[in-house]
Amino acid sequence: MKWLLLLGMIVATVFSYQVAPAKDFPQPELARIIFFHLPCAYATAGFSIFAAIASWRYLAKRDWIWEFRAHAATEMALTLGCATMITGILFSKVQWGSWWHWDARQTSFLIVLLLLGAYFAIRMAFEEEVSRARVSAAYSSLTLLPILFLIFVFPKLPQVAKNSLHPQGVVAKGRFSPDYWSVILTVFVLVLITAIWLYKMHVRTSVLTQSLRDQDGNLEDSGRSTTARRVDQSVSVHE
Amino acid sequence: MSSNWGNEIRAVIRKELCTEMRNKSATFTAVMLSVTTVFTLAFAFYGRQLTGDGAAGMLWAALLFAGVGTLTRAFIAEEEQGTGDLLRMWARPHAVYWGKAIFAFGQMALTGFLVAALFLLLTGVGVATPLMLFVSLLGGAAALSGTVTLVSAMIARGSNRGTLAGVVALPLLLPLIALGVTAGRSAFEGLATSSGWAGTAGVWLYTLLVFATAPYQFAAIWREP
Repeated sequence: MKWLLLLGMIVATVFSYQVAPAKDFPQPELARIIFFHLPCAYATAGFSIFAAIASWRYLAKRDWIWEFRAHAATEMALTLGCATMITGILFSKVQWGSWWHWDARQTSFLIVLLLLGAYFAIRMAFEEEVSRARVSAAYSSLTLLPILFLIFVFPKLPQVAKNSLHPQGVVAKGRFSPDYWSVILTVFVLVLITAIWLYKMHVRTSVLTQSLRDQDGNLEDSGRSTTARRVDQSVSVHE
Repeated sequence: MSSNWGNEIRAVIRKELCTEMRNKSATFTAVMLSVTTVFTLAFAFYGRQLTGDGAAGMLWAALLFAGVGTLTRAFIAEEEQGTGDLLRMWARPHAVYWGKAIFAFGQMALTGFLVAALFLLLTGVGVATPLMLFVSLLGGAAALSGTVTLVSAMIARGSNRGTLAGVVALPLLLPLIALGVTAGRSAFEGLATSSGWAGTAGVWLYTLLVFATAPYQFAAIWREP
């Protein structure tokens, strides 16, 4: 699986240099970073929204699997968000002349990253598992509205959009050539598959860690019931 | 135990008022923090002409810091004084949230208008549309109190609570500040009134959404497992 993904990414990267550069940018040749910037941004939005929904499900059902899913999805959202931010900053320097412009999209995306980062600050502040899960889930579900607003509403407000350096409505109006789009879509699919693969691995690890902890707890309980003598048991874990 | 929602909420507000009247610490701290923030901002801009844009940004930043600095104490104080468990037994989670949030709203509205009055006095900025400024500040105070009350409950049992309050509350409130600044800019300059009113409506919509969801999130974290 991982070799296929690596091969796919290499092929997409090579192919990205074959298509004709987009014309609307000051440095069209160097605008190719969009092939990675745009898919990462879309995937960040998707994982952030999924994390908030999974947190909501955890609060409603109190099923640990939703807490693991929310945690893993937020981690993927933050990772992809950082990739978006780094590629965006590079693009900004090359095309617009400086690293940071306080552009509406740049700023709103930075706030999204702060929201995602605060989730991990909350998790680190609680040592007890149930409190940590509950509070971080409540926070994550609370972030859904600000994230939707910051990604889909704020940058499109007329008074904000008119001052933005980001090209408006490129996706909706189909300003890229079909070749350009095919590379963006290919990279998007590859980024998404890689992210989902990592996400699933994280969830599986969390489930295994939890079952190990449960078994430890059972061992401790059985040890308590036989206080007269110490009992050592070997544990085998099957995936 | 009180028999209905109204009684429970009123009792929580009365309890907050009594606690506050006993030492007046929160109100005094809020007023001091507001005066210091506004004075610092006005001092930084001494001798310069403030634009509507800058004035709106500074006013909302002052409100944000005054709100986050004082309201996050709501549940931290309960846990520190050991009264949280009593409150859990005595009232339903939704009543606790609404009682605390309404009290925080009163406190924040008072602080907000004090901040705004001081700000206008010290910076000499004129207000072209006072009604817009008033309505947006009122909505902002409500949204700030609803959000910060919930954040306070979230972090009350965590470590590094002082720092955590800012880390958690500020990003959640930044969209509100963006909407408030849009309204404030228009109120100060008297230009683009339609977008100013749209910003004001956005502030109130944010408030509505906070109060529609926060009581449920509060209930999920307030009760012991």
